[in-house]
Amino acid sequence: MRFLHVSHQYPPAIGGSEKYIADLSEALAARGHQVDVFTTRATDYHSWRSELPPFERRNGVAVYRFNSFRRRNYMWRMLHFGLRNYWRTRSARYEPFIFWGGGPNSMEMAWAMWQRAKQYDLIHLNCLVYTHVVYGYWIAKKLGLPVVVTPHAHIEQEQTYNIGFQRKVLLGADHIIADTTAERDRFLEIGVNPWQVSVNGVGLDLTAYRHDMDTAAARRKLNLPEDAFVVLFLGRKVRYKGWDLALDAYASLREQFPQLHFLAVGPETDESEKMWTHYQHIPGIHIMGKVSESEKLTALQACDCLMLPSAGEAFGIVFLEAWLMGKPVIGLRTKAIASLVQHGHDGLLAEPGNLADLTTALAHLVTKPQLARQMGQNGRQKVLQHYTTDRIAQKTEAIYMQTLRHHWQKTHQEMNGQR
Amino acid sequence: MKICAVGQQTDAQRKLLQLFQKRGDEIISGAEDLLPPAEIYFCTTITKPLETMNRGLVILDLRFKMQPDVAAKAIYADICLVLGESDRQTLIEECRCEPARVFVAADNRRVFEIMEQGVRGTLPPAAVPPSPVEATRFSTETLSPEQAMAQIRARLQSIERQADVMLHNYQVQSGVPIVGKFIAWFRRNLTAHLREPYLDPMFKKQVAFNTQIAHELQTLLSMQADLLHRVDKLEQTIFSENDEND
Repeated sequence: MRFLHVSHQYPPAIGGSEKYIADLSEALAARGHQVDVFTTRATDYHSWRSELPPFERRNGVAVYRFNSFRRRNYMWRMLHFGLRNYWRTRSARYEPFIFWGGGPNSMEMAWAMWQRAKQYDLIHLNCLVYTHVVYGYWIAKKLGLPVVVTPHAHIEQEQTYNIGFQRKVLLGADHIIADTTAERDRFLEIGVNPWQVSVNGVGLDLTAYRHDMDTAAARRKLNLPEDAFVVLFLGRKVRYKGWDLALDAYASLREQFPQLHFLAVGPETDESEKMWTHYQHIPGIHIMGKVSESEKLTALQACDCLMLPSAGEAFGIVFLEAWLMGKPVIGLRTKAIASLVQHGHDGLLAEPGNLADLTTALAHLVTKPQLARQMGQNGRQKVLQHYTTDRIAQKTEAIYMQTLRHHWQKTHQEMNGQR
Repeated sequence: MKICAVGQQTDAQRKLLQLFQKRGDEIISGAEDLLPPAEIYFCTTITKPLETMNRGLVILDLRFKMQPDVAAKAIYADICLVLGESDRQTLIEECRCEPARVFVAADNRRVFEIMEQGVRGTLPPAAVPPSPVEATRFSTETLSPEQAMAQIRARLQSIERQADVMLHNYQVQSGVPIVGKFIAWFRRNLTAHLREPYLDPMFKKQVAFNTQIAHELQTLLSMQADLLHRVDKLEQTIFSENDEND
């Protein structure tokens, strides 16, 4: 079968949805399908600056990259203007501002799809918050091709899935792949046909997580004390990821548990760089910026638990990564995370906005290290059973076939009706 | 309608197919490796050609035998049929089948209906249970007194950290080029009459109150810890005296 995957960005660009589509494309190619990817040349969604080569073959997948308009300040202003007024009025007149301001706006990619998409059996559009999904959907419909969409919707952030043009895509697509059961429930609420939604999640390629280093060696490498209880925050240091909350929880406990250390790994932002000065007086904080994959694995191996109190995760692939290394996780009880993390079994959940809860969760793991280890092992079992790339690819393949059959059935019935 | 039967059928399944045959539908059997074109593939196993079948409706009947290797491939079917609710749960939770596609069908009449409506595209989906939402509760029942105290102390410390609700470093700013500084100055002065005599003192009082409450709670916790310690000591004394008396 020939599948076309359309994504806003593709590795080496960093991000959960980029990793998802890359792992999926490669796994499907390994299963004998022809998978081509249309994407932009950008690695940064803040600017959509074209910097990657126009064509590349990555592990059996042909990746075609196209130029897109740079996202300049005026586009950000348009986006904010559109969003502000859209939520106030729900009027379609503000949608073009959101559409244009969001991007990636790639005429080249749209034209290439229009010309070449017909040669594929199915089109899979990745990440609904970006506008390539909208024009990709429109072109696929015009060409009469079946469309599968993975929205990666942040349920608590409506702008990622519930703007007029996004809703049209959700309601019109042949199949929607939700990351979690909570996301599926939300789609059903807004009127998506239950036959056309599946829950699949994101998988990990186990070969990429082979790590020979043990915890002691990883700690030595990162200059962390061997007998410490290390809390890891792993992610971009933006406010919605909750890095400041994690730090506050740590700061609340440090005096009581002097063995606690905090390791913050991930790209810095202007805000995070300013904020570090407020925490300078607290001992045991270790900061790392953007790191390589192997450094990330070292950090995961070195920690005792992962704390990611993020308020806006579609899935939370980093939880899977921590579990695979046998570490328990602490997250917020948002709908998406609550359908992934089983409180008390493979991690702990705190109520959003409740720092005391978050602190208690951390204190719970610090005072019961045996339980923490058990939770980590339970999480690892969960990943191996449900969230490997192979399993995700197998289910996606099954979804593609169901979609193709459904599309065939619809066309067949329409033809019979015409006769 | 053309129905292709795949895999070994039980008597009940054969009877069902005969019902369709009597109605004038065509029943054909499919080989393991080659399947003829049909509108329905009624199967008891998922073969390789079924995994990549891109036409028709694939119905997997697991009512009479649910082998783990067959159930693992149930995700490839459009509709799965099972006998009871527990089999349905197994398919949904362990084999990652979509709840909308798994039907409990106790008799052939229901299966007949499902097949009929399925091929016409009028079959309502099976019930999709919403994902459970529970509130977090950190129970201290399973903890030792020391662990419980440590947890409560941690909660109080985090509350104390949140006591100061004022944004001390906030400054009115404007990103507008050239006139930005003037706009910021204007906005500061415009709101100063409200902030300085009224809002700031009110929030300062609130912060003082929050901090005091947090301190009082810490004191109460210390007293409670002390009491627990004393109770513990008393219990030990009573037990040792009882032992001596015995």
